[in-house]
Amino acid sequence: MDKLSRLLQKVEKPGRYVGQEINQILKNPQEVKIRFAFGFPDLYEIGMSHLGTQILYGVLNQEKDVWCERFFAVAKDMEAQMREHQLPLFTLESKSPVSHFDFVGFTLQYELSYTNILNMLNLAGIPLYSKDRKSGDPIVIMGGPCAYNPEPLAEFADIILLGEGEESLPEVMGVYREWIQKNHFRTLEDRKEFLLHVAQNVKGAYVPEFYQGMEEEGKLQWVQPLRDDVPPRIEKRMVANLDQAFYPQAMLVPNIEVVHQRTVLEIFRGCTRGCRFCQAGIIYRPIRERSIKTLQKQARSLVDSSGYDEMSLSSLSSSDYSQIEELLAALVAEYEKENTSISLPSLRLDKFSLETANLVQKVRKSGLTFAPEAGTQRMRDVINKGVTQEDLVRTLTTVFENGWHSIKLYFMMGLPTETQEDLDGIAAVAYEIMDLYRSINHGKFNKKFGITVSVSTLVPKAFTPFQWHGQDEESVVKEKQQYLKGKLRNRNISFNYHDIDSGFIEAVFARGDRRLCKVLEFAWKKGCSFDGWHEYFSLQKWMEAFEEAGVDPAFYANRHIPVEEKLPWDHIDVGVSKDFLLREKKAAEEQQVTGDCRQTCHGCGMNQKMGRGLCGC
Amino acid sequence: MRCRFTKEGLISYISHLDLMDVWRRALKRSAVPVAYSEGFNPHPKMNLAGALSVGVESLWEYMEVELTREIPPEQFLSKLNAVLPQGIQVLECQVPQKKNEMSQRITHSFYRIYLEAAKEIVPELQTSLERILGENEILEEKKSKKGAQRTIDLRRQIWSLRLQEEDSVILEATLQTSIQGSLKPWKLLEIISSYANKPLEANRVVKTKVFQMEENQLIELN
Repeated sequence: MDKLSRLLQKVEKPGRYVGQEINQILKNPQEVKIRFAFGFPDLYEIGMSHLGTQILYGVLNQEKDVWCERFFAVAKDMEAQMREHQLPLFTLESKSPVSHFDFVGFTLQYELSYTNILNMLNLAGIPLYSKDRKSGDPIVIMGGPCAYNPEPLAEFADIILLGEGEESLPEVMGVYREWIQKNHFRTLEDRKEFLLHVAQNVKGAYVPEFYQGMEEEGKLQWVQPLRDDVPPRIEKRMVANLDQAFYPQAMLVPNIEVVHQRTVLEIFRGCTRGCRFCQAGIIYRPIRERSIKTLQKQARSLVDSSGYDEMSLSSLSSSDYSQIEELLAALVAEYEKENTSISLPSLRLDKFSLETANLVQKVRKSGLTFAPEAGTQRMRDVINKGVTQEDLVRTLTTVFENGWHSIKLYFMMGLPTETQEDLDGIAAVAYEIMDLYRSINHGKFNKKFGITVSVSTLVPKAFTPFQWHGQDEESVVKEKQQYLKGKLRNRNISFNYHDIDSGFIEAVFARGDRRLCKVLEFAWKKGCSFDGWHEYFSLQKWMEAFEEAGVDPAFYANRHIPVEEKLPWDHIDVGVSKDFLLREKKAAEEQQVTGDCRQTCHGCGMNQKMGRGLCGC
Repeated sequence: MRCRFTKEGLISYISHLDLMDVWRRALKRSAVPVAYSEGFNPHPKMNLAGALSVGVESLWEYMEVELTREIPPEQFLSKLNAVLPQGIQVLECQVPQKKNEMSQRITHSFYRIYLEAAKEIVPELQTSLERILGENEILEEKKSKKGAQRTIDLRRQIWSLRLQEEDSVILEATLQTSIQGSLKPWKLLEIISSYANKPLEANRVVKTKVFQMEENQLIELN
């Protein structure tokens, strides 16, 4: 402890590494059978704002004989100190070395955190590759949204869990508990046998070592089992009834400032909108809501145990909750007098009502954020963002009439079928909004008036109708960004865009195959980590890594994949059929809108197989 | 209500601002009747006396909060201790006669600095301490936030220094911690390092007492 203490004196924000939060779970290591180290591959401030981490921490610790502790990526200054003084990566609860645990888990939230995973394994003293791990090494489990295309990490993971972890993680614990009662865990064979047992007995568990990537010249690898006693396709897991599903009674409350300092109430999972660029909208299907009654009960316990003065209603599209007005009214009535405000992070232009806005923004008229995503109606139809120009005008009229002065708009570019007209459309929307504001405010601009236009570049993701579409090449993206910059030069508009370099790497890994494991290792060896952080990202190092591995990144990022080509994630079953994705791709090309699936079932496949009766159709 | 509390162990590595937030949330969890400020963004009427440097533990910190109705101090203490994070503990509570005066009254703090040093170097360290105490002034240029240069006499901020040999070598220091200026224990270690011409590290620094200076005498507050 003295050593840790001396290191902490030399680093920035040492509070990241000390734990000791309210609602952390401490157990006696002598009294538990299974120790699980849950890793979030980014800084503490980011990871502690992640709801899934809190849920899985709770669900694992609910098991009496399991102790789940947390660890995070350490910042570069701390890493340097730890390497210099030979302090291996440790968990926050007991400060035990991560390598001493039975299981080490990583949540895969974004592709640009992958090098951090390798770095964390290395800092913990755990062999990077699954094949190099010995019987005494922890079993490395990965899961989370990026696990749906698991191949770029396949050689580093012992087990990859597909779908919602509150279903499968306790099951893996159960299988392990039984296994160690009956079997030894001493040799490499024991370890391998256990992994096979998991692959065969836990639904949703993908054990990459029993599968291989099949190569064909000029095509993506696709995956086949190496033996016939493991499932050829792995089905994702999901919670059937959110009212009955585990939800923490109390969440960890960090002692230092983190990204989101608030209580999070998850009101539903899934989304019925079907935006064609959106991976979350597919992989979290079907829609499952919590009842108002359950939510009120959970809210009470979460607010009381946290002491936060804000509660956020979380989901993919919170204003789509079927009884959103009733829920908000009930929560605001209950919590206003306690000085706890309610916030709604995702407002939709077509569902915006003043009542809602007033309820959630009762105290502060800070900026509102909307996401039209595209500048022309044609393009909004292509991406199936069911928002019209009238929605925009109607909503913003209400917004400005009621005294808001600053708004933020999110758009995307690099979308399929995009033309210059669509880019012009983005600028046109911004200027129309300026005119609208002026006409409402007697021809004047208030000092507080401002429009922020934020334009990101599409990263085509697995399991979306745009999964076959190639990302725009760097030169094209830069040209489009400069074009928009010129168009949006106005003192009332601030234009934000992202550097394409990291978006390019994200695109490579989003549609990558097992050949990328080597690239990842090389990039990490060159010093890549925290790739999602602008100040640490180095395209040059990445390009060198591709070069050395003999892999062409453009092949993965920029290529339009023929629909006949087998895909690296074809062996993963998310419940939504490939046929549906193809139909949606075609509809996009024909500018056909597919309506909200709460109204009509569009036959995505979910309801026929896994989610029978769940999405209410 | 005024509380004396501790900040012990690893939680000493959270900053003063973070500690304020920890208190705000703890007050809310405890459900004691806290008075809130008016306005768009109401916050509890609470403050901490003095700011402890990051990494310094303490047995002697003050928090004061305004309540909307009186509650017995012992009840306040037990409610808060039930919801404070490990390492932060309320030791005593009372209704103060004069509000928010502690940051004015405290002028000096007493620190025990557990050195990462072999006992063999004690004589040498002793010499360095004597040299420091023998100085008339130890001047340092300091830039204020606005960029203006000013000269500070660090020697004046050192009241006393003493070495103790227990299980480890402990430096006991009484340093100025007033609104006119504070000398951080970390800065003191730097000064001693430069006099002793060798790097000095501490495993722990614990503030155990506070003083008020009156007519050139230090009076211990309790």
